[in-house]
Amino acid sequence: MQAIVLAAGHGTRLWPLSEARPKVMMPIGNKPILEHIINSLVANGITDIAIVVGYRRGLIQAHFGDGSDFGASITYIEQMRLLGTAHAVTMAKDFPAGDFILLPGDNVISPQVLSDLIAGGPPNTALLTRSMTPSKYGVVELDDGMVENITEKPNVAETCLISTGIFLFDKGVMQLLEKAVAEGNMGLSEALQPFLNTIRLKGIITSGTWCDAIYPWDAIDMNSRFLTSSGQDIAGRIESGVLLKGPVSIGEGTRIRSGCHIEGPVIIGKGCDIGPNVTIFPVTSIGDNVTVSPFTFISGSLIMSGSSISSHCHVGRSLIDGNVRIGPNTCLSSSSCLGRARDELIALKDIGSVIGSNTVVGACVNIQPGTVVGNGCRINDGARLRENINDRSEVY
Amino acid sequence: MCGIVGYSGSRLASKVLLESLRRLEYRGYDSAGMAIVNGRLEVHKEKGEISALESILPHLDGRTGIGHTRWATCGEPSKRNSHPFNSHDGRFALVHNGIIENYISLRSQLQAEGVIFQSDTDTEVLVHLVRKYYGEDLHAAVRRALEDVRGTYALAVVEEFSDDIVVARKENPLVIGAGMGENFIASDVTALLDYTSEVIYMHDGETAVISPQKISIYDPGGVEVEREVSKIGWTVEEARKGGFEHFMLKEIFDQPRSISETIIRYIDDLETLDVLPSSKIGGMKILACGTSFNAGMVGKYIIEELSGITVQVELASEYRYSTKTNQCPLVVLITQSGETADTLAACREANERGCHTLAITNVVGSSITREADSVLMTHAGPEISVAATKTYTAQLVALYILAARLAYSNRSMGEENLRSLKKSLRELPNQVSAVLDRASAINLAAPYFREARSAFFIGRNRNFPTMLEGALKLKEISYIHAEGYAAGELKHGPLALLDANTPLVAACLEDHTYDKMMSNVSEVAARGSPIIMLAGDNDTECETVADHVIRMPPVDPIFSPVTLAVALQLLAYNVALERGMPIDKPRNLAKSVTVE
Repeated sequence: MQAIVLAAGHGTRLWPLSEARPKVMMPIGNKPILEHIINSLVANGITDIAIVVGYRRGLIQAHFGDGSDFGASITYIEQMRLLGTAHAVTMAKDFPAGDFILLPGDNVISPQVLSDLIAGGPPNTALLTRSMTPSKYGVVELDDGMVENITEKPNVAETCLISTGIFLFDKGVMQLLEKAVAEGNMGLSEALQPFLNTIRLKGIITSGTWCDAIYPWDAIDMNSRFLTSSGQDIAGRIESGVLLKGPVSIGEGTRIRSGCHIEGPVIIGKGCDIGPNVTIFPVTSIGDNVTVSPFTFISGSLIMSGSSISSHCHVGRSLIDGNVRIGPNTCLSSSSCLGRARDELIALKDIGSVIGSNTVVGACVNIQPGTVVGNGCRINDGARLRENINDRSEVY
Repeated sequence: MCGIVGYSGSRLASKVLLESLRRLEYRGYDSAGMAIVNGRLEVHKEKGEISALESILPHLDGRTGIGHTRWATCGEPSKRNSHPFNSHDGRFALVHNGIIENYISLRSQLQAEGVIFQSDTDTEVLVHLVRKYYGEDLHAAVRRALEDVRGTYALAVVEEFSDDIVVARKENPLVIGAGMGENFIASDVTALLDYTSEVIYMHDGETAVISPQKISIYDPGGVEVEREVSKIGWTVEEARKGGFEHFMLKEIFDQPRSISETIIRYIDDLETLDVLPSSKIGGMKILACGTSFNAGMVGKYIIEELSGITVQVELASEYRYSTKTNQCPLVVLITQSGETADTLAACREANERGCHTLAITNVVGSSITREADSVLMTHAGPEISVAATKTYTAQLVALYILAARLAYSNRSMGEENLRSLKKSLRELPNQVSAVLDRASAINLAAPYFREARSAFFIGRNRNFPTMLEGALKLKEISYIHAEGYAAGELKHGPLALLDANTPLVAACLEDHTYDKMMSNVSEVAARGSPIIMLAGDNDTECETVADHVIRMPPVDPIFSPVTLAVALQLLAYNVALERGMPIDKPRNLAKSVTVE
């Protein structure tokens, strides 16, 4: 069987994380989301994969190459104009030789999810899951196991079943989608809607883990759900007097200086310099080339490559994008709070803050839970931050 | 990164394996070998390229065999350490890609049982284990042997008087190619595409038995499984480029990774990096050719700025003519391949003059690593495009490392400054990514070169040599005559050549050279030349003089040669594309120049 993965979109709602990369390349457990998907496909024996690329396709292609390092063979298909998901699928119309799995490149899934789909028998099948917030997704109504209706982001959701965007299709569906796109139905749900009876779309509810990051904070939860590596894997240098507990993975060229206390699940990338006397609590991912200075506390966070955190900082349940510099005594604390995304206020449970790439945060800055700082900002010493701060702002 | 291949069918196995190995050459090579089943096993291996192996091969009649190409990432490549390995009775031969973690204990155990080892590699224990556990069935023996092994592998084993190949895979790539009455294995699809487009991917922990008629795959529990055959729809060339139009573009986009790899190797041990002579260094020389020479020029500015040590940069081919009385305690030689004849000759000359020689190269075990007293490796990985891109920026990173090491040892740089330099260095891979993000904006400068017959590149201070490199890239792949100049030199001659058909590329970043650069550029603007300016994000003045502005992301000024170089690579690439040139293989040029 083959698979088509949609990876052309921007992921603008993920701002400020969308600036440095397309959404599919967001690292979760130090691996891009798309890599988790490719791994899940390969684990289910699906190795002939087409990726529909668009926004920043160079980053994706440079990472995956021809796929051989991942046990797959990958073909890239470019969607020049980002018109919608159905349109993206039709870009790959010549790819499938028979039945194929269609899946979005920006959801993290466990291999189990795909096994459920494949075990569900012959196409056409839609993979569904239950959601606490169904109205943010395509809500599905089932009748005797068959999909009756898919409504994209309804005001009031009739059921809690949503479409994961993962389908098992036969080749014929491609022609129907082409027809729908020609009529101007560019989204996948609206394109499928008129043909639901013709293609007899079965609905299967998966028990595996499926997560979608819509807002930047979602990545923090996603990371804690997927970073469950087993055992220790230490390639770097650990000085004497370091305590490592539970599953901790430390990359090559990284030094953990004496007096550090690290409790897994924690993953630390290559070329980092941590400590002395730094505490890292679960579940935390630290990318490559990160510097963390003495007496800093980090818990439940994602820190991406090239960032540095000065001494005496507190980083709780927060996300720090690449090349961020954080000055001494700065506090990113977490609690239940409200987060603002465009015009929406979202209730968040135990979340700290999100700092965009290339931002420089000074000393003794107090960053309130739920704050989102944009990319390339300068936050001066002693500032107190809350709510959202636009890209390239200077804050006193 | 190593490559393995295997064949069982009706053709001459040695021919098929040689072809397949050649397809894997892009994964790197420093030695190669094969084992052919011709009744008994015949094993041949040789250090160097695949052609070196070919030249020593006698006519081999066997129709089943396995082969290996090795790219050492540590340890010296030698015939003794190359694959395949035999069992001591010569009945089995094995090739392997990966790492056996517990080989030391397995080795002493086997030695205690009387096995004599021929090499220092971790791989060799595998073949002896297979021999030890062999009862009647090779597949069972391999499965039993792997129970003792901890590590990662893709491996293939052959046995005398048998046309079966037994393979196993764990966390290393391995594919099986299905043919008619013949079957193949390889590390990646490109090695197979000349013979078949139908492949089967093996999963982690699986083993398989391949014979001319049959492919049997077994899951980790030893139960035979059915596996679907995938059809590959693309050609060899396309496969290796991973979706990019040219190798050059692929390699340009690989730079955040290659730069990061090189940083990671040295950053932790920088203070104690053992590459310098014990004597005091009052002055030094850097010798190189072509692109490496330009890297050396950047190195001069960086080393002088950080450490205060005077640096002379000379063309390697001219070094022998320089005065012998002017001795330097340290001579740095830069060569991507480690085989550049001019640089090798310069290295020997410097050794004769009693200098400490330090080589910066990308190829482990290349000639220069044996000639020089110490070595700094760049970890850019194999580069295919003739125009160097990722190896150039990796050389720059190695020079930053060297500069910091020199400055630290002569106390020009204290702990605190070194720490902050390390921090900036760690940010470099993302800054290069940020330049790549702007690739489409850089494309827009290409039309200015459509009709151009020549172009000028100017910069000052450490950005001057970067412009030399920018001009060289344009020359190499777009065949436009291009010259790099220190901006102040323009008025001493070249200004006479500038006209409306001669674009000028100027680096006007916001540093202490900015005002002088702007006045140099204004002079040229008055001659009507199209001006392409590389300027900072916040610069508003540049648009008043420039016809096109390429915006550079903010970066610590000392690292601007790296980000600028990436922007200029993209510019050269797009100009060549615009003019329809054969980008990866420019006329008259070779990747590594091994003649003087």
